[in-house]
Amino acid sequence: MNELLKIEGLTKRYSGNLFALNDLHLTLNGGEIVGLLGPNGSGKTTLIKLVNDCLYPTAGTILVNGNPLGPESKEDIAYLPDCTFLNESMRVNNLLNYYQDFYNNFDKDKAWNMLRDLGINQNARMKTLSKGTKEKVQLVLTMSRNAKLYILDEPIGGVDPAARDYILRTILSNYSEDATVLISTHLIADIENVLDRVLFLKQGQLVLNSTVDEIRSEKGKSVDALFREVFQC
Amino acid sequence: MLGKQFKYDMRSLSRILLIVHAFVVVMAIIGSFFSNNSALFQSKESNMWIILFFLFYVIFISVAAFSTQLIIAVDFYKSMFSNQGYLTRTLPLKHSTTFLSKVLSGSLWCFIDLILIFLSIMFVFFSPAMLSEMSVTYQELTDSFQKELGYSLTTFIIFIGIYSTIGVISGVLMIYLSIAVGQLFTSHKILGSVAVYFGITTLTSLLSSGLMIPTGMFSVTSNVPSIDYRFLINSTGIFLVMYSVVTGVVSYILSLYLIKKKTDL
Repeated sequence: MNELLKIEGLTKRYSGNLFALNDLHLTLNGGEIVGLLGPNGSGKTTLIKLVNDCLYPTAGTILVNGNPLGPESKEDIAYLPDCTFLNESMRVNNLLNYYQDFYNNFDKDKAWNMLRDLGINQNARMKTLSKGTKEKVQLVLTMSRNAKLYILDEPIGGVDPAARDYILRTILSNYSEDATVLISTHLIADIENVLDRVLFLKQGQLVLNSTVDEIRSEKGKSVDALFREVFQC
Repeated sequence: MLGKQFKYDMRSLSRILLIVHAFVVVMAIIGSFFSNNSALFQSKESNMWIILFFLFYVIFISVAAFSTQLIIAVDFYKSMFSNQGYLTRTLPLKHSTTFLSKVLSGSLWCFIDLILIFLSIMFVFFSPAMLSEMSVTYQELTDSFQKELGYSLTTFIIFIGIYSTIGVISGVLMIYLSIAVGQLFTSHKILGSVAVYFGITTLTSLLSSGLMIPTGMFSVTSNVPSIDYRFLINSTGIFLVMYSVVTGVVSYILSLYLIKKKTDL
C-alpha cells in the first residue's frame, strides 16, 4: 500500500511552552476513510493545518505521497477548513473557474452538477448565501477535486441533521477508492458507520490508531463508546 | 501559475480601486473645466464655489492616494492572513510565487494611482490656459534644466519615472513587511502592523537622512558658494534611487521569510 501521508516527530509548540502537538508519528495509506477524533483542544485542527502548510512545525517532517509540503503536496490534498475561506465577493461560477485555473484535478462538470442539484444560484455572490449554503459550496468545490487525500475539518459540525446526511453522502459518493478521506469531528455517532479507521488524539498525542473493525471485535464496543471512555471528563 | 495568481489578485484589487480612480478622473475633468474657463466665473459667489471645489479636490486626491494604499494593505492581509488564507496558502503554488503576485499587483495599482493623480493635477493646475499665463514653454523649462543641472527636462522626467516606480514597489513591500511582522504579535495583530509600519517608515527616513549628512548632500539647501550643487543634486538623486532599491530588496526578503517560516494561520 502506498504511504499517502507520513508524519514523523511532528511537534507544534506555542509561546509559553504550550505543546499543541508533541512528537506525533502517523502513517496513512490510500483507500481509507479515517476519523480524526478528539475533544476540543486535543490538536486535531493543529495537525490538519500543519499538513496543509497553514502552520509551521516546531519539529518533525511531513510527507504527502512522498513529497515534502509544497506545490506537489497541495495538488494532492483537497482541504476543507472549518470556516468560510472563500472570497465572499466572488460569485459561485467565478469560484468554479478559480478552482479550475489552479487545480489540474478539479472536475468542473461534477461541481456544476452538484451545485445544480442543490439548487444553488451560480451567479450568486458568496456573501449573499446563507451559512449552510456557503458550507455546501465549499464542500462541493473540495469534493469535486480528484485528490489523493481529502482533509475535512469538522465538516458536519454546526449544520442540521439533514445537511449532515447530505454532506456524508457527498463525501462517500465523490471520492475515488484509492484516495483517503481524513475527517476531523467530535460528532462520532453520526460518522462512525462510514469510517474505516480512527485516530484518537489527546493533548497533542496519538493515543489510538486502529480500524473500526478491530475496535468492535477486540474491545467489544462502538467507537463512540470507546471515545467516551478514553476522553471521560 | 504566476500569471493566473496575478490575474485574480488584480481582479480583487480592481473591484474598489477602479471606482476610486474613476472619481479621480471625474474630478480632474471638472477641475480642468474650471481652470480652462476661469473667465466665466468672475462673480464673488462663483469664485467662492471654485475655491471650495479646489479645496475639496486637494482633500479628495489625498484621500484617494491614501485609500489606494489602505485597500492594497487590507487585500493583502485578508488574502494571506485571514480565513481566505486557507485558500491562498493551499493553492499548488510556491509561497514566493504567491507573494510575488501580490507585490506586482499592489505595485501596479499604486503606480496607476500615482500616474492618474499626477495627470489629474497636471490637467487641473497646469492647463494650457494657465501655462500661457505663466509665459513658460517646455523649451524654456528644458533649457533651464540643461543650464543648471547639465541634462534636459526629458531626462529629468525619465529619472523621476524610474525613481517613482522603484519607490512605489519599495513602498508596497514595506506595507507587506509591516503586515507580516504584525502577525508575530500574539494579540492586536492589526494594530501591531500599523505600529510596525510607522516604525519602519520613520526608521528608513531617519537612516536615509543620516546617510546623507556625512556625504554633504544635506548642504543642497545651504548657501555655500563652494559647493557644486549640480553634483550634489545628481548624487542625491542617485542615492535616493539606490536607497529605495535596498529597502525594497530587504523588505522583500524579510517578508517572504516571515510568510514561509514564521507566520501561522
